[in-house]
Amino acid sequence: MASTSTSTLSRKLILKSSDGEKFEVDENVAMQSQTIKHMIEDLDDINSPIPVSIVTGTILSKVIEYCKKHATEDSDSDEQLKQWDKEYANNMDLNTLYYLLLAANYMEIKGLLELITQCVADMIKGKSPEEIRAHFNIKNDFTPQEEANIRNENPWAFEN
Amino acid sequence: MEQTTAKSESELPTLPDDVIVEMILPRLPVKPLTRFKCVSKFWLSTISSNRFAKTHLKFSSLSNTKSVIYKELYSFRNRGSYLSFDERYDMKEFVTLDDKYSNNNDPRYTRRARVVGSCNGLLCMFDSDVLEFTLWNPVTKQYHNAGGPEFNYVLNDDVAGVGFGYIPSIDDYKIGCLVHSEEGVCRVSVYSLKTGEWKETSCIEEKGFISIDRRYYSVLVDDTIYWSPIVRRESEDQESHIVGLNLVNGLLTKVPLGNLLTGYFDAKVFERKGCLSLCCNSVVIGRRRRTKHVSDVWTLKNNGDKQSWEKSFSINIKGVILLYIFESGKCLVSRHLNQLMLLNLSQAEYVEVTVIWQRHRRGHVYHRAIADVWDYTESLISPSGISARVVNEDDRETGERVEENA
Repeated sequence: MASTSTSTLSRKLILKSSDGEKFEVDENVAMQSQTIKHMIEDLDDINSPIPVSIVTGTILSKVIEYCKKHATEDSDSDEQLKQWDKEYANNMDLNTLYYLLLAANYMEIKGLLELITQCVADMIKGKSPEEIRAHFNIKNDFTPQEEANIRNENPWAFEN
Repeated sequence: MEQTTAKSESELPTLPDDVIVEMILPRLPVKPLTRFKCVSKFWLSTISSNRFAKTHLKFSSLSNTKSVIYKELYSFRNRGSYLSFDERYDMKEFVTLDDKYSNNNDPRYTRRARVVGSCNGLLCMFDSDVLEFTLWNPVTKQYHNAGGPEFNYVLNDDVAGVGFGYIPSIDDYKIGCLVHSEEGVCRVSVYSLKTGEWKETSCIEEKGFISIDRRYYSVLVDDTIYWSPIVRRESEDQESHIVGLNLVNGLLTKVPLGNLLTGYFDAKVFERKGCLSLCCNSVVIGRRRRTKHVSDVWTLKNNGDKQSWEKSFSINIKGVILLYIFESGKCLVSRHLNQLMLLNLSQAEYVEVTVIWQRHRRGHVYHRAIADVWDYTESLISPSGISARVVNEDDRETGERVEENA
């Protein structure tokens, strides 16, 4: 892992959520978000709050929890970090998980995005097409005949 | 597993299509993806596209599960097996491939065809009786008959070497085939999946023998397939070489071995960390005149424009035959035909030996266990090179024709 210089460690940034909640974080914690990194470059006053416009305070605090864990490079081994990631994701209800996914996508936090998309993938891989439609709110635009044709092409995929 | 209720699902935020398509779906195995083709027209066209197949392959090659195809030669009952390993190389699955390969439901093909190459989830099957190749995706169950080199093949022609590989620079899959005739003519033919054609790329006179050990199959290193050299005991001072076929230009190459093979009775090519490697076996008479088998693994190193062979490590466990070298350096070996073991090598020493599979019936001790092992990643890659699935009825005709050809 790349080491962060001490000068950046000491700097603090203020992130402001969509519902006005403010969070003071170390710069190296916030810099894991590519979006914030780019915003800081354009910023005149480093002390003014940085708006994270589509993310609520509840979600932002979870994002920061993740970024903090991954910003510190001390004793934790890769194995421990993986375990922490797993517990972090498992403790989330589905709703939070999806808002977190949207936040990670907007804030461009690669590690968090990978963690949650894998989590969603594991969650949906056992589902039927009907369950997928319900889950992602997708409209079935096939005629019954068309759908039956596709099913009949690969019956093995529908077996347990 | 299911943590969701209908209520919470209805409140879920809608994820953007690009998050679903680019980040979630590529993380799924092939089976659910095939099932999800009937979610909607958008999902069908997405999952069926070549572009998605490539994205998916990128994700699955990065995943922690590695698989190998294991095929014992000279064992008629067990024709082929599929082994799956997790990141710690614990074996997860061990299933027989026999029932899976049923090309056109023709039992003749099923019986004779053998895996001669594996790449991006496609297996290249070869039927030496009729000199025909079939590309097969075992998980999507698609076949593509690639035919064989187009010349008058006569009974005594010797198929000296075959091989299969993907060439990233030209985004094409190629099959190479080297046939040596009784008159001493060596014909090289290469099949391109893109053009769907065989081409004779080289035809040279080779009166003598060709140094390719027919018991072993090829490895692919940097667009070139290499075959195991024949070790001849009677002419130990003679310089030997490894025969290679560059799949891009279709020309044969020779990698000089000098007198490296001296003292060995057998040699097999491997790919090790992107380099061509050679596992050489010898018998050493030890204390109390006991024989000891030693396998030395040599690796071809590039030092600027000069190439040299360096000894990487040795294995000297009795009755052990090296089958496969993982990227991590771990070695899959067979022992006495009834055990599969994993050796964990650190530097040149093995620090850990794990038996991962044990057959109840003990194998023939004197019968050398020879097996082909191929790296395998499940994928959506179509063996016919085109995505055949379409939605509307007119196009469906074309789709079905493609499958018939396959």
